[in-house]
Amino acid sequence: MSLFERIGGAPAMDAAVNIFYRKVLADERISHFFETVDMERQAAKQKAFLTMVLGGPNHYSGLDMRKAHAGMNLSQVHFDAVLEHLAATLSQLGVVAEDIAQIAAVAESVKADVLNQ
Amino acid sequence: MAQVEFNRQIFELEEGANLLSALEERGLNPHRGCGAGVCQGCLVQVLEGTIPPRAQEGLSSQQTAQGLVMACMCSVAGPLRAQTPSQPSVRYASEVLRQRWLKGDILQLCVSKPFDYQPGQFVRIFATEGAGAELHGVGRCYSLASLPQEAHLEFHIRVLPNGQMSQYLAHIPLGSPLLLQGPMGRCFYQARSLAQPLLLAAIGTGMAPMLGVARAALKAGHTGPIYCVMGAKEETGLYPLPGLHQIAAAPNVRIFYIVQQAGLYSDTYEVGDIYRKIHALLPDMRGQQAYICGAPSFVQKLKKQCFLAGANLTDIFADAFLPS
Repeated sequence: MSLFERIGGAPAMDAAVNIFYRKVLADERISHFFETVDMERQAAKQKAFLTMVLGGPNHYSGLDMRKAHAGMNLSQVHFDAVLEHLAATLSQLGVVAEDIAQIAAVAESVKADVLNQ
Repeated sequence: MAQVEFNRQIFELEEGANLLSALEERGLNPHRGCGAGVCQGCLVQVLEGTIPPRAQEGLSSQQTAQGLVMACMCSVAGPLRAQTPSQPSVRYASEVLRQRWLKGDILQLCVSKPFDYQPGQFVRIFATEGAGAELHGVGRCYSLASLPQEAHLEFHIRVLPNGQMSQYLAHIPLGSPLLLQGPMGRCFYQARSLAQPLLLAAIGTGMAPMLGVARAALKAGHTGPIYCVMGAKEETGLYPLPGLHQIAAAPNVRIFYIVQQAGLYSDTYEVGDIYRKIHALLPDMRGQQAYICGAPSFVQKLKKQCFLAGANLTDIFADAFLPS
């Protein structure tokens, strides 16, 4: 059983997005990137992202990640901020530290694409 | 085999076939997103037929009410009629029944009712005969101020000096034909429980749909608090909504008027900032619902504020009106 299924599958992603997106928007380091985006569309993307890192069914590709973040001038600080919120969200959802570390590693794997390296 | 009709094209599919794959094979693909029932990139609108629960898992109640399904998760379970969930393209014939000035530049327009709708939704009106060439084929969206059980459709329209459509509607003779498209809009009453606190926030003519939501809530027997916050730049932007006194008389309804700049009648409203007012009124919106109507910048800013105050995304319904 994947972590995605253990957490509760697709329906649980709604709760996860509400927690995660709120943390992201409240963080001054990164909130300005989300000033003008459509909230519904952004939430859908974050749901897909969370599904991907939790090992749920997804069609997330590095190319999408690269295209979506191109030209945003993102740095390590921004990436770390998102990772922090991801870990805090998972912990709020009752995911144990060991699993969170494993998920963080999956998220780290897209870093080069996100930071356009 | 089951007969499937999509955007008026008809074909046969095996029972159990995946709807998205079938649409892709025929070049009718809406959009493939994650392909896993998560991202909602492939939403289609089912007009008739059986919807497997998995195809609507995680959708909001307002999405399911509109028959939206994720095509990637939709296996065909019998005859099905569906379409791309864009703006409805059918135009219905209607007729002008009454015009009356409510206050200042707000026109009350009543027309015959060609379709059913939910209170709070809006309609696109197309000009017909007597319209200048500049209005041919032009549609403008107006919110509905009537109740669904009423026999006609009622609009409250701000008539602008240079507004081609609003001027046209203000001067069109009784009995004239109009074409209508709709109903559209996500701001209709859909509380998860009768006790859930509701925020209805609007600026300008967005107040009319909010009145519709409030009336529908009371009619459904809603017992939770309903906060109506109506905002305007200047006091002339506030106008008396017919039927508002009935809403205001309900014990669980509180109505606030917020105007940015003080005017002649500043004892009848609060002068201030609508965002701050709402924040002071509802600092913690966990478990609450928000309905928001008005200019795009207002809608976007308030949506975010409500979300950050704790309201869930699936509990925030907003319609942005472009200035006409």
